[in-house]
Amino acid sequence: MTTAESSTVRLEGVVKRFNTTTAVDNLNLEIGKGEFFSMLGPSGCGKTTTLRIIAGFEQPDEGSVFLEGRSVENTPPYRRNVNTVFQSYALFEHLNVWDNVAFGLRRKKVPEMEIRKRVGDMLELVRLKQKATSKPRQLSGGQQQRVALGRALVNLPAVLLLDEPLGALDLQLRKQMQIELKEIQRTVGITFIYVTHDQEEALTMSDRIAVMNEGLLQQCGSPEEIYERPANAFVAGFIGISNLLSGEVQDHGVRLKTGQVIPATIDAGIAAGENVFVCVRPEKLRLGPKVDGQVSVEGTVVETVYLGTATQYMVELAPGLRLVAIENNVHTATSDRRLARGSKVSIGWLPEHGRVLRS
Amino acid sequence: MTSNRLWRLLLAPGAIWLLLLFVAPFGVVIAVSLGTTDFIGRPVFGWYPENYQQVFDPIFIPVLVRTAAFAIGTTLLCLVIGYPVAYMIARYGGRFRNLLIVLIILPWFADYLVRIYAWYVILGNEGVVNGLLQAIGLHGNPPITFVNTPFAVVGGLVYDYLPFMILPIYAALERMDPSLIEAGKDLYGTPFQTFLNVTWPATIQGVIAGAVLVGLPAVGDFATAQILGGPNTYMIGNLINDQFTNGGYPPFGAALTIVLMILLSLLMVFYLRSASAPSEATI
Amino acid sequence: MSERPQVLRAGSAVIEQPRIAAPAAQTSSITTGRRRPPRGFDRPRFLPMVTALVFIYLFAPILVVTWFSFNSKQSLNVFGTPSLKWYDQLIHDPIITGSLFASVEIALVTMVVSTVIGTLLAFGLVRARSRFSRPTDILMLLNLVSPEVVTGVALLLVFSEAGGFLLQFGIQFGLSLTTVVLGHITFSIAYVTIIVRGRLAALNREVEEAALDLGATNVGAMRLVTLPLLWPAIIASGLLVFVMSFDDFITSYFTTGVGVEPLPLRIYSMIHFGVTPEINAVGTLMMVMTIAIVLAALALFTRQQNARQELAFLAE
Repeated sequence: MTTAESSTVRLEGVVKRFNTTTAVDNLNLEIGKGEFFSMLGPSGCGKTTTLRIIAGFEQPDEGSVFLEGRSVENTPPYRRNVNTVFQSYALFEHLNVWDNVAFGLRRKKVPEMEIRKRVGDMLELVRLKQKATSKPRQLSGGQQQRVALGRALVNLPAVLLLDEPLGALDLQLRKQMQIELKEIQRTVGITFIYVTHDQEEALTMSDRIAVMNEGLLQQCGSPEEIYERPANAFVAGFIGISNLLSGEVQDHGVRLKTGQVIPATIDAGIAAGENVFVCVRPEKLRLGPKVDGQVSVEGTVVETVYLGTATQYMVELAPGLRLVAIENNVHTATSDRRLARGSKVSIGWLPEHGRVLRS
Repeated sequence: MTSNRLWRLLLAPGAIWLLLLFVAPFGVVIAVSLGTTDFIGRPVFGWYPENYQQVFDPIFIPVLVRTAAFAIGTTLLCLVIGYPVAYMIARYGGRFRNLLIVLIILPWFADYLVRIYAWYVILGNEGVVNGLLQAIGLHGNPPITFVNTPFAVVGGLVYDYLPFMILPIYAALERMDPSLIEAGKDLYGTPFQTFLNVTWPATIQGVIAGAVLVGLPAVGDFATAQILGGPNTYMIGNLINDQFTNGGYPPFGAALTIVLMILLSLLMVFYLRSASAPSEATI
Repeated sequence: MSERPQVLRAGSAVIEQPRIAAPAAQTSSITTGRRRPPRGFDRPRFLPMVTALVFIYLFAPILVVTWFSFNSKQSLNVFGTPSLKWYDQLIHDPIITGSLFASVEIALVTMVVSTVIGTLLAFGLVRARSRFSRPTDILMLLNLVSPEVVTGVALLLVFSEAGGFLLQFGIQFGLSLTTVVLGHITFSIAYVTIIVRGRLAALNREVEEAALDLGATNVGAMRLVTLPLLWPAIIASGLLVFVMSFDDFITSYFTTGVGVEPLPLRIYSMIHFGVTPEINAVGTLMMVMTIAIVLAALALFTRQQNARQELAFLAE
């Protein structure tokens, strides 16, 4: 189907194989203009390969790639309106910061006057104006990362591809860079495609996330969708802490190992007797006596962890059946208010917070 | 990225050159080795495999044995002398490390012959050492004959090839993580044990590389034996060389060359196998 | 890093030790990621002595040669007054100056040709996926480790036979300076290839991809990024080849014809005819020339690049 392309990047049925492994399996994605789009998944899930296909360093074995509505099968990387920030930064060691950033503009034969302005502005934006004449090896990791970003961004591509750019930075710096990147993206309005294995990073920065595993797209949606309504057990398990209670579908509910049948919303496609998981997020759990309308289970506290802002409880319902609950330390700021190990407790949650997922 | 064809094309000039001027000549050598000569001594092709039999003739066995002995001796001496130097520079050189390595290589820039000749100057009958001894009155006439002995030849060989032993060992030591030695000191009793169990296995690759770079050329050397030695230090290289000068028999020289090449190739294969097989302490 | 249990003999007991890994946390000393020079007191006493002796051993002969090149007397063990008469004799000897120029010419041609071929070969070996890669690699390595006697004989025979063959067509081809150059190039290619290949393989592939990503064509990426980064290795190998060719004896010995011969061969004849301090002078001169060339190139080059980076490269 050919429609007026409003998407900036479109992948249709893209397949990429390396020898016997299928790195990317029948991938379909549509990414819009100005989106901060993340690709999230464990190592080897195919996210970096997909990025390289969009950039033009790999050719798909099957399927098509469209950039700004045009098919780019036969377009080499240097003719695509796409720029990449590499994981290793890949700075040109023999050039200084200024020449690194100006590289792309010079390739396009932009007049030197304009280059001077644009590179100057970009160095301001990434706060490296003082280091313009330094060589990459004289810079810190964070500074090198900003050169790589500036070098790619100054060309104002339609899409900026970022391959785990913050991986080599320490925690403090990483958090700071995340905020900066988000701000820059908002300022420039360019589509960012961001590859990471850090789910927290993806959740905080993205407009939409594509979760991948073993080459297959698991779910694509907003952070909220991914977190609150995971499509399958993998996504539920990969993002945040999830509680996956296994059981069988029975009587518009799920029968747990304990024998208890808890009410839950069963999707139309799932038949009675099927093995499923009930997925509940830890912050949705309330410790205390049963409240009307809530699902309630009984268990014993096996672990109490003080997290500063909250307390994390691990409660065992039955051998092998555990729940992790997190409660903010409003009423439980002192240790005597917190539940001790071994105490019996009831845990409840609203039925709509328990998602039923196929095993 | 670019098409593979372009890269493959780049292999061509080098491969063709080597084929024409390295492989093809060996074909000629084999052909000559199986031939004989005409009345003015030019090679004539034929089928005379007895040239190879001559290689293993008892008369020449001492030469082969001596060559092997010299080569092995040179390699071992270079190892014994070179390893401590490499160790010293790598571990304790500090910021002078690079300077010291340059200094090690520097004598190598003097011409090969000049280096051999220099030893002749020092050790010769009218040389520096004898002159000094004469001056002090320790030994005068007749002068001590240092040259024309196996020791002079081996000494010259060691002098020639020592940097080639030091450099690979130094490189291996440099690449080694120094905290391994620290850990070793914690575990082993004496420094020597630390060396034996930690440092040595880690640098084995460098040692073998050095042995190859020293031993193989040493086998083929003839100038050293000629200038610093005499008739009783004849090496294979001398023997081959003689066949191609006046009064020699080129087919025999060619046969010797082929046999030498085969032996060395076998050693090379052995080295390559050991280099690619996982070693004990791969660093 | 291999992680197999180390077997430790303590007394008569054999203890299985856990693997020796490198993390600093295990050692008793305070270490950071950087290397810390060991303290002097744990150095074995004999090491500095041996090293000093070896340095004396390495430098004594050439210093002696240099020293005696300035000797006014003919003898080798008595030093008369310092004099330049041997150098004077050298410069006015047409055979020697002829050989000197010949050697320089040969070395220059060898350097240029083998650097080009060797660099191309390095690219081919690193980048091409071809079933010719491995055989070519082995061929090159064989060439590298073959003793010069062997390759010299081979070249001598092939040139002689080729000469005889071509004579039938009326073409004069014999041993000459040309054949010397051909021989030198043949053994030099492998050295260039090894050095350049090492540097090429160490280059981050992503840097070239970055160039493409930013709009450079394949040729452009090569020109603007790969070659500039490769330049030190190419130059270094070129210099090495120059020196090796200039100093070369054995290959030249087998491939030279009548007429002008390379300088080392001239020295060889001089040694055979009788020892004179003139040889000392020639030797010293050659040494000074090669060292000067190397130093000049290093100086030129460290002015362009960061000096420390290049010295580090020397240690590789």
